[in-house]
Amino acid sequence: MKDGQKISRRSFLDWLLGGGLILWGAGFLAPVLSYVWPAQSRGPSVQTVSAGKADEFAEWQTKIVAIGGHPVIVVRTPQGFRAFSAICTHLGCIVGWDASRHQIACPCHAGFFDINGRPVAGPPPQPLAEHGVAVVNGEVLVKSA
Amino acid sequence: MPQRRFHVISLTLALLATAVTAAPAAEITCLKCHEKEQALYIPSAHAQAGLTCMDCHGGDPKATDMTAHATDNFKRPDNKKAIAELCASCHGDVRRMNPYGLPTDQLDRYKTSKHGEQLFEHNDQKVAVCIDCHGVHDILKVKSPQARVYPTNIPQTCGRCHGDAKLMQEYKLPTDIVTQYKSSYHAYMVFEKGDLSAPTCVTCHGSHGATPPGTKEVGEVCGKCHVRQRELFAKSPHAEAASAGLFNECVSCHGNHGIQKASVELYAKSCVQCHAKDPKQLQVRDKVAGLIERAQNDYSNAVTVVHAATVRGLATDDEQLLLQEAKTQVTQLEALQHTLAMDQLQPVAVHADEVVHQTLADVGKLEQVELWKRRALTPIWVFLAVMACLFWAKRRQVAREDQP
Repeated sequence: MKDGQKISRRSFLDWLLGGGLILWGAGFLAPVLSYVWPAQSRGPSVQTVSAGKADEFAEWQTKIVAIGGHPVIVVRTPQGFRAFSAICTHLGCIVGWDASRHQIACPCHAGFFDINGRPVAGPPPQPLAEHGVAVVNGEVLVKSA
Repeated sequence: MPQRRFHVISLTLALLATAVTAAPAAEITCLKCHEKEQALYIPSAHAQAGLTCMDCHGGDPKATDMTAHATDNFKRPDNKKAIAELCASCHGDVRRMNPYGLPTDQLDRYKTSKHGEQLFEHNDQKVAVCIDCHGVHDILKVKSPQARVYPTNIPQTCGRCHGDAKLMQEYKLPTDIVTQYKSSYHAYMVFEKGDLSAPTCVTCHGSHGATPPGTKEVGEVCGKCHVRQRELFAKSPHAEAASAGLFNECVSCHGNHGIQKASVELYAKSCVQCHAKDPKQLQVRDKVAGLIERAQNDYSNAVTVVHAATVRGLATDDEQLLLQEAKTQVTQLEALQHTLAMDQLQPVAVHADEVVHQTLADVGKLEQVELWKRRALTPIWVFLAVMACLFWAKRRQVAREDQP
C-alpha cells in the first residue's frame, strides 16, 4: 500500500477471492436451503382466486373454481354471490348444481344442499363450508376460507 | 316512609302468595316412604316439567300413612295395558304436549307395533310397553345421553329383551341380533365415529310403532337413507325378481343386522348364492367387479403417488383437485354398480381412468422438473469449483509476481 491510500494488487485480489468464496458458499447453500425449506409450510400461494367477471354470471349460474387444490362452487343468487366448498360432506365427491331445484347436488348419493349450504336431502351429515366472495371492479373474487 | 312500608307489605304478600302456590309440592308426603323413587325421580324429565307423584298416581298427598292410597283416584297400574293408557292420558293430550313440542300419537302408533298388537290383542304382559324402554320414575329426555332411548343406548335397551334367550324362545325370535348389530358398519359409525344419524334399531324398525319390516319393505327402509342406491337398484335386472318376491332387495347381498361396509369382495360371496350354476351371470359379475376394483386400485395408487409427491415438497394443488374428481367418479361407480348395467358403468370408469392417468402424468411432469432442477445443480457446482480454482491460481500468480 502506497501512502496508505491505494489498495495494493495483492490486497485487491484477497478481497476478490474472499468475495468469490462467499459467492461460492452461497451457491452451495441456496439450493440446499430451497430443498430443506418445505414448500407446503408456505401455505397456498393464492389466498383469493377470480371466478371471472360478475356480468358473465347469469342469475343462478354457477362455476367451480379451485383454491389451493380444493374445489369451490360459486353461485349467483338474486341476492348476490355465494361460494361453498364443493366437496360433499358425506363421502367427499365434488358437488354440482341442480338447476331445476336451485340446490347444490352431489352426484354420488343424491345429497342436496340449499343455497345456504345446509343439507336438505340425502345422507350428507354436515353443511358445506362457506367461502367469502367479493366483487371488486366487476370481478368475482373468492377467498380461500 | 309510608312508601317503604308499602314495599315491605307488598313483598311479604308476594312471598306468602308464592308459599301458597308451592304448597301442594311441600305437602307431598309420599316421599316419606318412597325415598328410593324420589332419588330416581329428581333428575327425570317429568320432575323438570314440575310434575308430582299425584299427576300419575293420584292419591291423597296430605295423608301421612297408607291411607294416602285409599282414595278413588289412586292409580297404580298392575298391567301393561293400563300403563300404556296411563302414559297416554298425558302424552295423547295435544293441549298438554304442545308446550313441549311432543307428538301425541305414541299410543296409536304403539298399537300398530308388534309389541302393541301382542298386548292389546292378546293381552301378552311380557311385551315391551312405555316403561320398559323409557324407564319408570327415572325417565329422561330422549336428547339426554343417559336416556335409555338415546341413540347410543338403544341397542342395549332393545337387547334387554331381544338378547334374552328365555324370553325370545317363546316368540321364536333370534337372540343374536344386538350382537350382530354391534359388529356392523352402522354400529361402527354410531359408536366409533360418533355419528348419531347412523342407524340404530329404531331407525329401521321404528320406535313406538316398532315392527319388523316385511320382506318387500326392507328395500324401502334402507332406501330412506340410501336413496341413490335404491333408485339405481330399481333399474337393475334384480328389481323384477325383488318385485316377484324372489329376491330380498338389499338383504340378499348385504345382509341386515350385521351389515358390513360394502366392498368388491361381496361379489365373490353374494352372487354365488343364487348364480352358482350360472356361468353367464357370473361373467357379468366378474366384469362389474373387475371394473370397480381396477378403478378403486388405480385411484388408491394415484392417492399414494400424489401424497408422496406432496411430502417431497412438490406443489400438488392441481393434482389434489384431479384426485378429488377421480374420487367422485369412483364413488359414483360404487353407487352405479347397483344397476349392473355395463353401459352405465363403463363411461364413468373410463372417465375415472382418464382423470387418474392425467393425475399421474401431471405428477410425472412435476417430478421431471424436480429432476432437472437437481441435475442443473451439477454444472452450477462445477462452475463454482472451477471459479474457486481460478481464484486460487490467480492468487498464487500474484504472490509470485510480488516476490522481489
